[in-house]
Amino acid sequence: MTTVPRAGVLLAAGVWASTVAVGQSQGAGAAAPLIAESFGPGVQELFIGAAAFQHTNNRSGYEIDWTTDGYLNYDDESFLGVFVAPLVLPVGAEISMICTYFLDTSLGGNVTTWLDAVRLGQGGVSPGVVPVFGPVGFDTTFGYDVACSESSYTFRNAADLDGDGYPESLVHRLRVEMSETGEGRVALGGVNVVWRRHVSPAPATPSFGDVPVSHPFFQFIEALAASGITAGYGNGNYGVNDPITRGQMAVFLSKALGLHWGY
Amino acid sequence: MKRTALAIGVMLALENGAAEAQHAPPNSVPKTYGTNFQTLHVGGSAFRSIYGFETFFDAYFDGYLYNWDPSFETDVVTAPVTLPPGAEIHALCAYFYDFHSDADNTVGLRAGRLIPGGGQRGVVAIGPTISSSWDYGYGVACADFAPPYTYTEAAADDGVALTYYFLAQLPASNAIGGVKIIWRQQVSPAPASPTFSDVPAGHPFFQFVEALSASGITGGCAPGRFCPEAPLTRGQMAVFLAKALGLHWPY
Repeated sequence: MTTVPRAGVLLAAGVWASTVAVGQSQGAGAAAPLIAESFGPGVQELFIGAAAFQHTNNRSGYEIDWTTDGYLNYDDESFLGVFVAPLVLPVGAEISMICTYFLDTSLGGNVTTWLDAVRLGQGGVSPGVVPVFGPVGFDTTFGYDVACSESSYTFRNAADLDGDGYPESLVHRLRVEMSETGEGRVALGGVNVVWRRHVSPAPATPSFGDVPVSHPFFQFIEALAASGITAGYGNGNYGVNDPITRGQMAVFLSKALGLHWGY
Repeated sequence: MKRTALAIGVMLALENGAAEAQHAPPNSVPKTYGTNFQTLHVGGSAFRSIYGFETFFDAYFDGYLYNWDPSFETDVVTAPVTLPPGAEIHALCAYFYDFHSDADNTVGLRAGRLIPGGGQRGVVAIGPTISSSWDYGYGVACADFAPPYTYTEAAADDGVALTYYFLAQLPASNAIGGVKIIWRQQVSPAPASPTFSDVPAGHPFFQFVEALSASGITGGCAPGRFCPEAPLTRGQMAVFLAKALGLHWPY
């Protein structure tokens, strides 16, 4: 886990420079959809706005948190404010960086973000939380800023986190802890998750006789078969070197994308 | 002041039986592709009480949402659910904490009708209701949709827009950890009349070619024709893929 200062983000990629600029001026106006609609294995972003976050302790009667211009403000020096929002990504998505947009005008105050994997309880086993990404944040007191951290986490709906040999069902949440010390306040604008898709790892044994493990397209054809997009010719072969017709292409594409429901 | 206004607004809305899913964040579908089964996990942090701040004491702890109401009332919590149109829902699994020997948690899927310009609101319960039938502990309960439910964004009978959400009841001290949806994508049903003269209704690829056409990915190879037997060039493939996936905007 490395903490990346803002200058590092700006220099990291041209894409990032423009993204940060937009994010700082617009913040988190509305609850973002929880999945970005971009395709392919390239890096993409999912922005979870502050409006998607909920206070973990619903303490009534205190003016402790409110939203302005898309930011969730926190102004209670008596308690640590812990806010959570669900995060859903495709299975196999690799998260490479998480950025937090925040305001800090409180000396000693902080805004820190984690991604948690929640191991759901069942069969008498209590649930547990495993931080899988973070902390994201650094201390500042001069106003609005963004903090980013780089790491690598592959999103799964089940994983053997405790090493007992059995995968547990998981849900994921972003957790933002906000504290302030009496003067000034802190606020959350939102959390930007940088991720990309993966083609699933190849299995140990091949599904088709003409696409052995050593074939350069083995991983990709197995991924198509595992997704239900192709079953090959039905004779044990995929026809890996056969030309494709426009009609066959229509079957591949419509099955792959679940096309097309008009409403 | 803002709090009070919000609480009053929520209470008024409840008196009118208004949509319960307003203030919670969305749970969109994870984009796993193909037509095989996949899961969407809607976590406890996605649920919110329909009663607002003043009435209930809810706590998000270890990823679960607990009803720690000091007056021991049963809480009602919701989380919105979004799937692609045509998604076929096969089963739900609910993760609960149940502190009682008698009062069980329940959760079920709801479709709320979004009414334009007057008319009557309404909510339809879809599929099974899942209960925490065990006592004193964490557990999971699953139930099948029989038959599977095809998710659509408009009601089949009158075309009214729908909004989906989970509705859960949590007796005092109980908790919900989340709901797992087991679903899969489907290719849309074939229309009654064909779009292309060389892909008639009896063609083995009819349904699939029509799906491509309906989504705007292809207009055919010539007016009224798709040329299903013509070989696909690498160039044509590039057009199909780029259009199908809306490729590629870098940010």
